[in-house]
Parts: sequence; C-alpha cells; structure tokens
Amino acid sequence: MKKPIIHQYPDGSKAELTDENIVAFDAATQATYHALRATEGKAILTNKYYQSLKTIIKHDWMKELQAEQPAMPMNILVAKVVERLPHFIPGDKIVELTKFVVGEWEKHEVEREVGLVK
Amino acid sequence: MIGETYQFDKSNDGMQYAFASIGPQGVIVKFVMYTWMYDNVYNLGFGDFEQGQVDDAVVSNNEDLVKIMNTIASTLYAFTEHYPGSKVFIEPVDRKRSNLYHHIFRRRIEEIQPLFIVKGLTADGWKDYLPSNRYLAFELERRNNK
Repeated sequence: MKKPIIHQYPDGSKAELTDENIVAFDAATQATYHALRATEGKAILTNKYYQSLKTIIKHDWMKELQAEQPAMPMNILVAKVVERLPHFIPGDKIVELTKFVVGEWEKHEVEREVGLVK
Repeated sequence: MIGETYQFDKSNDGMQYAFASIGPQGVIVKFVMYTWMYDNVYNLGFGDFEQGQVDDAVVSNNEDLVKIMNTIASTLYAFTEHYPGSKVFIEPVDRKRSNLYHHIFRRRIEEIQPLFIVKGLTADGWKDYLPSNRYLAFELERRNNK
C-alpha cells in the first residue's frame, strides 16, 4: 500500500490523502495529488537545475579550489568537481558539466596569466 | 507571518510539493521541488505541472503572484522541518524573477532573518545577505529551534 500524501491547509492543519479517500476531495486537490503520485520517488531534473549546478560550480566550488591551489592542474580540478556531483546525474549531463568546468578553468588560466586573478 | 497561501500537498519524502493556482487562467497545478545538489544543499525548483513534466520557465499570469510566492515560502518551512540542517539554494531563472526575489527579500528580510540564515552568492562566493546588494542566488538555512 502506498504511503499517504500529506495535504496541508492554509491554517497549518493536515490531512492524509490516499488512493482510497482522494475522491472525497475537490478537483484541485485531486489534480495536485495525482501530480505528486506521478513523480513519486523521481528526481525532476530541469534545465534550470543544471544551470544552478553550473552557478555553484563556477562561483563556489571552483573559487574554493582555486584559492586552495591557484595553479591547480585541470585534470585534478575537473576530478574534484565531478566527484561532488549528485550520483543521479545522467552521463550526458556529466559530460556537459565537465566541458563547462574545462571552459571556466581555461578562462581562469588566461586571467591568471595576465594578472587579473592570483 | 507568511500571508495568504494556497493549501498544498507534500510527497511522503518531503522533496516535492504541489498546489493549485486558481485565477482567470483557470486551475493550474504548480509544482515545487527540492532537489539535492551537494552536501546538505538542495535546489528549490518551481514551475507548472503539465503532462508529467515541470515547466519552470512558464509565466501563467493567473493574477495570484503574491499567494503563489507565499505558498512556496510555506513549502520552505515544511521542507526545512522535514530536513533539519538543510540549506536551500534559490537561483532566479531570469532577470525579471531576479528582480522579484530581490524585492521579496528586501521587503521581508525582518521576518525571514529571525527564522533563517540568509546568504547571497556573488562572483566572489557566498556573503551574508545585505538588502542593498544584488546576488546571483540566495541560500537559506533554518535557524535551530525556529
């Protein structure tokens, strides 16, 4: 038997929704219930999610790694970034993110060589 | 005080939330998802649910923006209750939403900060939130026992 979905009212009170009792709720609640059931246990990975990973990689992870070792070799930096990625990222997206890291690393190297960054 | 919200449903793992936006465009199922990124950081995603997919770029114009944002804020409370110690990463999808999020944080920071630690992401990494600054993204962490 599936675990119930929790329905929360604006006043904070809660009800349990199940396949058995959902027909007693209004159409809007039935629609949201079925939407959640349709995605149960699945991570929804949108383009925006990958964009957010790129933002974190560029402005947080790579900054940390470059501060730790400004001239970190590219293969080491790529390995350190890739190992932090969520395990559920599909292969094609790992490739895309790796290319992104390499591109950002190359920009950083140019900036470092001309003295724009340490 | 969050203000007027929609009722919402929460998946049993606490990662996904759905609610119905009701307005001139009819009933639109809105979906809020918290997706793991790294360590204890989760990405907040949001969009319209259609045919089993979430469209996070759509603008539905159902004339209930404030109520929708309040409902998303309610899911943030529910999520951080379900996952104590988690941090939520919020990145606007475009310039318009960036302006909206900055406006919300600026206007409501006095209500938010007693409950959440707020940080902003800059080109130089994470900084403590300051209303006068622009950020690439925001991070919220629920304060202990709040």
